[in-house]
Amino acid sequence: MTDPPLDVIRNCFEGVVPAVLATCDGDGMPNVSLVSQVHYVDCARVALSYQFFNKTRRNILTNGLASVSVMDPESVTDYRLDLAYEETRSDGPLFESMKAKLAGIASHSGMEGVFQLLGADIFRVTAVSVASGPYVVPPNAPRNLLSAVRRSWTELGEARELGALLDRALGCLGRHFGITHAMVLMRDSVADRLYTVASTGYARSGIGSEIALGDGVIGVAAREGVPIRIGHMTSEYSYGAALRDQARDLGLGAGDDTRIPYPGLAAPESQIALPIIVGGATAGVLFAESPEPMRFRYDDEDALALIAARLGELMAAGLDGVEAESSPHPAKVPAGRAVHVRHYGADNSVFIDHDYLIKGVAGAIFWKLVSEFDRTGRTEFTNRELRLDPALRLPEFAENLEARLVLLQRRLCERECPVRIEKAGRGRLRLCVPGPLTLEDVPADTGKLTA
Amino acid sequence: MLRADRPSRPSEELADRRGWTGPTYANGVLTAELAEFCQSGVSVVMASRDEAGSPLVARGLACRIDGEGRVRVMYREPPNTAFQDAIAAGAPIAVTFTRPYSHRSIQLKARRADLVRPAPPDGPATLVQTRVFRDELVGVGHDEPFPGFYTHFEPHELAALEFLPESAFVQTPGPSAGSALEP
Repeated sequence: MTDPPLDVIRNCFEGVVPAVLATCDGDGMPNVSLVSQVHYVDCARVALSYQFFNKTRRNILTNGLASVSVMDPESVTDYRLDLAYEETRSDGPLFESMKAKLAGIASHSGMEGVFQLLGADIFRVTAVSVASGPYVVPPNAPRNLLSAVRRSWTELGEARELGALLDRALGCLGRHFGITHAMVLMRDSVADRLYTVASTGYARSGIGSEIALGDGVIGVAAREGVPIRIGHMTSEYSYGAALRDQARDLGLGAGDDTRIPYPGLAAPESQIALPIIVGGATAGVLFAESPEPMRFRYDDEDALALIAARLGELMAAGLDGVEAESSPHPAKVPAGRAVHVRHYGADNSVFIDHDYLIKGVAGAIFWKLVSEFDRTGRTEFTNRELRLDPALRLPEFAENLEARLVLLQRRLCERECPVRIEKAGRGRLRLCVPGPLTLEDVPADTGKLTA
Repeated sequence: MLRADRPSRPSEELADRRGWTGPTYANGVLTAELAEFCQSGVSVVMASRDEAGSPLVARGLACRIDGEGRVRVMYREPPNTAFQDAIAAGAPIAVTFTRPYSHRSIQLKARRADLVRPAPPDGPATLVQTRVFRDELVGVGHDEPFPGFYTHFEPHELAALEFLPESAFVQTPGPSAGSALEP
């Protein structure tokens, strides 16, 4: 390990101040240039952004040696690192993590479209020395992240249902991390999309809104299974642009009734997305954002990665999706009037009294429940029968059903729907119906996706 | 934030050099405009190599260029002793000048440089140029105290070296970055 260790000087690797990179060619002639990104890989390695094939690049490939000066802008300390080249990666988690960060640096420095990551050049750090400084005692950290993780760890372990766990996680982010805008999205591995199941801090919850795999920091974090963060917003990772593109690609206009608006901040500066891993695969994403630039640093990433890991561990242990109580109370239905439920087989979208409720697997579950109720009068169902129902075509993850039930229960509450679902015991749910239902099924081959 | 509406481009730098008809110095390596740019209060960074051939990085403060094109770089000695030892041993030098506002960046190289005793005008010139650079760092969004400390030097720390540039290169990010600046 170097002295000082790389993980205590990570403030140098945020890209606030350009680093200085020295290399030599085969004849020993030096070359010196500014580099916008030196990325912390681990306690022994850093990665430099390879953006252009230039003299620096040729020199690195020739003799593999480099010397870099990095600055901690808060303490104003100049560190010198001796580097030995190991390899270049042009895709994968490290590459995507650097690409997102570089896009933010480019946006902040007026170089959007010029800075393009071609590769992540990984170097072993052979020596670290302090050349100058520190000149300033850095300001106290606004919070103790280790303590915040410990408190959150305990609180999350007390949740007994998936929805409560997610809400508790967002509550912990607010109380212990000072994060006021956050959401949890789950992955639909069949449709390659992520859907929002919990959020905090937004004017509208956005429960049920979707992000395509690969879009923005959330989509890239899910696709690559790696934390992605950005300190200065850039159009490349903006959801406004991504959602407009998706709508255009799908031929959707403003009149589409089955799109739930994405709830995110209109003008975020910092964003961080952490994959939630269950059984070795990305099951969802914990996402936080802030209007403040550079809000999330390396230490925040480590701390939030532990929260995401805790969520994954608890999800894998098995939690009921449906909560006991559903609030606010369902709307009263005038006596004698039936609740109208229309289902489109093409995408399993469900409309209640002409208002869009949900689509996809959650829509299929709801249709199964109300159809069964309509046919037999049955109101109690087991998770097991839903899981085994071939018509629902549930994806591989065991927790996916629970996440769909959280989504469905929350949409029913949010839409103030007279029909509700609630927990009826371990692994059981109850369909609460206030009166008669009229069901209308529009099969896939005739379905027209408008209400 | 104060940034150029459009960053500099390497192709423009190369075209400007090819079209230059004014005075030049250092056997044509430096145009009068390039010399003025290097002395205008910009970022100054340097490199050399040790006896084993390993690169050495250094940070400078300011520069003065005389009528023959000899470049005198002023720097703080304590953070740059390894680099200074290499120069004293006759190692080659590379120096890059960069303006954050536009990202314009120029690199000069020579096979050797001489350590020199700071001359009376070096201190005032360094003070003037580092003040300009400090203001530019603030202008492009760096919060104090970083710009102030980054450009700070104590008079007793000031050291200088001189070299006659043998080649110049455009270092501005973008396609053609690293190309030689030639007539």
